[in-house]
Amino acid sequence: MGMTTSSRGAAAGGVPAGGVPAGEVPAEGRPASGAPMAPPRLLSRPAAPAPLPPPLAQSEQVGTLHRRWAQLHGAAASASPATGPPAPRVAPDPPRVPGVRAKVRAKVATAAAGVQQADRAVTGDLIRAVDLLAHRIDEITARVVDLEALVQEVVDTVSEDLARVQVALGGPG
Amino acid sequence: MTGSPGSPGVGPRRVAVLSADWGMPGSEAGFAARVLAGAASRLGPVDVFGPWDPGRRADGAFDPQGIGRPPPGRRWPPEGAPREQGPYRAVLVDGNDAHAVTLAASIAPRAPVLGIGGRTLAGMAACLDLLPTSGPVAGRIAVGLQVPVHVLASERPHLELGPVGDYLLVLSDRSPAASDPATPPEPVAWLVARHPRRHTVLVENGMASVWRSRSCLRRFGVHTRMDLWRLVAHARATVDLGPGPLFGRECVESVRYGVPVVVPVGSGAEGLAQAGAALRVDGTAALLDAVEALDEPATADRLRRAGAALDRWTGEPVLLVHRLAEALDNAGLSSRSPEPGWSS
Repeated sequence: MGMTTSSRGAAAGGVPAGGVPAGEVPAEGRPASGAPMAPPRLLSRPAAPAPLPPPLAQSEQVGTLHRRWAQLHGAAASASPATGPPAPRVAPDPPRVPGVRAKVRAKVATAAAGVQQADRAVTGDLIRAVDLLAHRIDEITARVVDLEALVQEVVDTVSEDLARVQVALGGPG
Repeated sequence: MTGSPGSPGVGPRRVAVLSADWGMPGSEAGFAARVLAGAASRLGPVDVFGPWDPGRRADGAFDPQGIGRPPPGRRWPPEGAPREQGPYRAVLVDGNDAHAVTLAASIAPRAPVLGIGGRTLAGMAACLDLLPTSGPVAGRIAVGLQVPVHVLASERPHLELGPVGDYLLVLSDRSPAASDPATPPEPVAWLVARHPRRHTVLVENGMASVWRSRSCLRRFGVHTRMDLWRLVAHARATVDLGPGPLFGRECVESVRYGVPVVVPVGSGAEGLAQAGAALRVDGTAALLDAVEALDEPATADRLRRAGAALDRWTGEPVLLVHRLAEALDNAGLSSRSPEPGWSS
């Protein structure tokens, strides 16, 4: 290291072999002879679980989608005569026979209303699909994090047991 | 440097310091020489000599004097290069530097030579032990050393550690050329494999790596001494694979923070182990056992108590000055007389 170990070369120490004076920690479970084992191999990637990300279903983007849809739906509903404010009472006009232009206008309006209704249905389906996907992704994310924790647990357990066996067999020098 | 007046009752004592490692970052010999020169400056004038171009150079509290550059492959210029500099009470040299002992005879022919740590070599009046040895040893005088640590390092752990609670700190012994970030030193590989549920923080070549579950979780830089102190102060224990040759500075710092230490047998931190403040291990298998032994609260407490008792040897500058004064007064009385004309 910069201010400590860089100034100490390999010759400065290490863990030298040699006799153990009184009062030192004995190395138990080692045969008197035998070459030391190679050091344990370590993993090239971290085995620790990553922190769980915030739920996608509760994200700002999905929330905004719901809010905008509610606003659009509310505006359309308020514009419809069934839910709109009552119209002022006026004297009815005498019945007239509709002309050609009025008939065409009525047909176009009917067709446009149908298309608009279908668009709303598709948008609603999309929002429900996004909801479903977000919940499914959150569920899979939680499972991945659980799996990462399991991998860490497996690595820890196997590593402990293996190292214990290696030390008992002579292990490090 | 012209030293400040000494403590009441302690007369001025002029001391020469010969240090080839003076000012070298990371050198324990240079660090120890500087600390002892600082303590000596409280007792009298201190002249520092080193293997540089002749002349003085500004160096903060001291103006070390060069006595000539050494030839390639040597630490000091040839014998006879420096002339006698004047009466000295004693000459302090690096404990393992035989050439410096010879040069000391040129600079101050009649002054006793005191080694700073290390071994007592021929020509030395005594060696100054930087850590107390167990009982008085002939030719050695225990003076201790002030190893400063910052108390605020205990306030909060290193920011880059992340959500790491309890961890074992390992200081590497590999040189920058021999180190490989992907492969930790062999003892660390065994520690990580044997204790996969624990965090192990390896500090090597200015970088720290956090290991758990047989894998490296993250790396970050250890740029300052404060960074290292924070790592040391919050560790469960410190394993120093290669303590410094004289006293194991990082081991002493760890002990001063109340963190138990594990050191190799025969290392520079042997004094800590003799004082009961560190566990000695003679190999990787013993290292694994020692780390497990530290799980027992009684063992860790025993080490901490012994470490706290060492504080008067490693953390009290006033006591260091008094012990050094005593050493200067007593040193050489049995082997050499103080220089003529010297009054203390």
